[in-house]
Amino acid sequence: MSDDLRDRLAKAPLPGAEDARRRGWSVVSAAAPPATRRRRWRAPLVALLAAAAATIAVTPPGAAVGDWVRARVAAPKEAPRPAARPATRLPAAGRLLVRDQRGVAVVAHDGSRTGLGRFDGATWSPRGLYVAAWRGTRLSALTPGGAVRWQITAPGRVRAARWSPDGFRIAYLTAANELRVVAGDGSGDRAFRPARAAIPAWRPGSPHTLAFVSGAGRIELRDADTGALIARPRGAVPRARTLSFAPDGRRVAAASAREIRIFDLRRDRWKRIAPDRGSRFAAAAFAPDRATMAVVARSPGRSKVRAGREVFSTRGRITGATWSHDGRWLMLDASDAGQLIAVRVHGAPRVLSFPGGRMQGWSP
Amino acid sequence: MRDAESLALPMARQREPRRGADAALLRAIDRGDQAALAELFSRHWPAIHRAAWLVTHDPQAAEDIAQEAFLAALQRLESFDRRRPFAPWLHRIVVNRAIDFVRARAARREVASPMLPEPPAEVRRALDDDTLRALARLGPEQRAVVVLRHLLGYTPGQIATLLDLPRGTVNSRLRRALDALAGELRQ
Repeated sequence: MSDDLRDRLAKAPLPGAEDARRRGWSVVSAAAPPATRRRRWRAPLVALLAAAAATIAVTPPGAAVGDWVRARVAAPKEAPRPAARPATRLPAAGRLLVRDQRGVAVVAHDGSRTGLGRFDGATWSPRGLYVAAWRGTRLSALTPGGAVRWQITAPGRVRAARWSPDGFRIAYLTAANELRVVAGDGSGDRAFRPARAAIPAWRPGSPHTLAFVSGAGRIELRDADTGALIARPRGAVPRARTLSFAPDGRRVAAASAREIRIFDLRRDRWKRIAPDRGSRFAAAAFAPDRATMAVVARSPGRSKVRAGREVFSTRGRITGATWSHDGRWLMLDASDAGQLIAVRVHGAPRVLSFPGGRMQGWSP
Repeated sequence: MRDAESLALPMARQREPRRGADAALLRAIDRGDQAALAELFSRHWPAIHRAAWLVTHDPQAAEDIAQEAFLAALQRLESFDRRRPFAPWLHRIVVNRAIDFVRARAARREVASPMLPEPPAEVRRALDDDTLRALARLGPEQRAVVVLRHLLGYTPGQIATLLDLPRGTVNSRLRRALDALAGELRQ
């Protein structure tokens, strides 16, 4: 029985073994910890050099040599504590904005992190030259290196902000559901409209057209400078959490946990996407280069990510999805695992993982 | 539950020659040697993936568990006593996670089973294999001891240390599991 059982266990069919091995290696090689240097030689060497110093320091020439030895034996000056290092380079161009318990940080393409400070959230300017970050009632514009360009104090706690496509306006939403607009240089902060909690979105191709969910629960597109109404598609989306435009600006999606509604602004029609039974939507975002939408759906014990097809599935919780600007990669927030997971959407399947944080944006 | 690094398991006999080689690979990985990491992965992935599959009978969960266990082992290398063999440490993580997964799935199933999608045809075919159907009759703890004993080659004493169980418990689980499997596989 024993040999027979061993043979049976070793030969029992294992579906998708080769694909799983390939994905496993991809994740492991990307997420392996950085090299460490174990300094086992250090203690004996220190003792040896200290003994030498004690011996030779009794003569003046010996004292000089002793200084040399002391300089090398003395504890090294404390180096700045490095921030957590991602395991590997980013898979696409641009930089990430991530938030973790230490605050917001910029992750460069080589994986190095630059902390910007303790903020509740952040967003990139359209070309990735600046970051708008907020904490409490303070809204700041910073360089990716962390230099503060300007700050304003909002009349309420800032919940989210988005930079307009031309960089000249920032729309932000307060906890009191007031939508406000400020110029890209920090001037002219003013109330715009009352709004629901959905994070607003700027329409691509028309730099100052802002979409938001009005107090009445309907999507409105308005000129951010004049306040003029441009469109108010039919159908209420009072529970929407995010708005996302297709790159041609014709369609806008309003996503809530229970549904995603995609509004065609030219035809004034909309269609509804419902989650599978027992699932809820956790995130939805149009790709930056085509009308493909990434949708994260969660059911008990599983999260699935679709972008035209199912591109990733896990037992853990995926709470967000952010596209790379070339539209080839999705960065997923795996908050349970404390990781970011990059999934290649086009081309051969590839999955990479990075040290944790919650995605705030991926710059061009 | 003992700390992983306190495990003082001798390796099962058939893997003894690898012990030194694993240690050398771990030293190379410390230096950032990607080829050493690839070698370590190639050595251990097939066994841990298969062990997770045989305990969970869920291909996605098995893949996730094997990935997470390998990463967890690597991320804790600093605290790992290099005089100990690597494989039992890794196998312990895999098997415990697999048991936890099956228990959690059983708890969820009471409410979620009508919503679970049908598994793909390839998975259904695999689950129809005699050995897997026989294993499916066992609880996760019994499957785990069978896998540790007969796939990974540990002795009952080593399994007791790995799973932090009394040796008598391991022996009785093995006995009952083998009796059940023999009955199933004979039919």
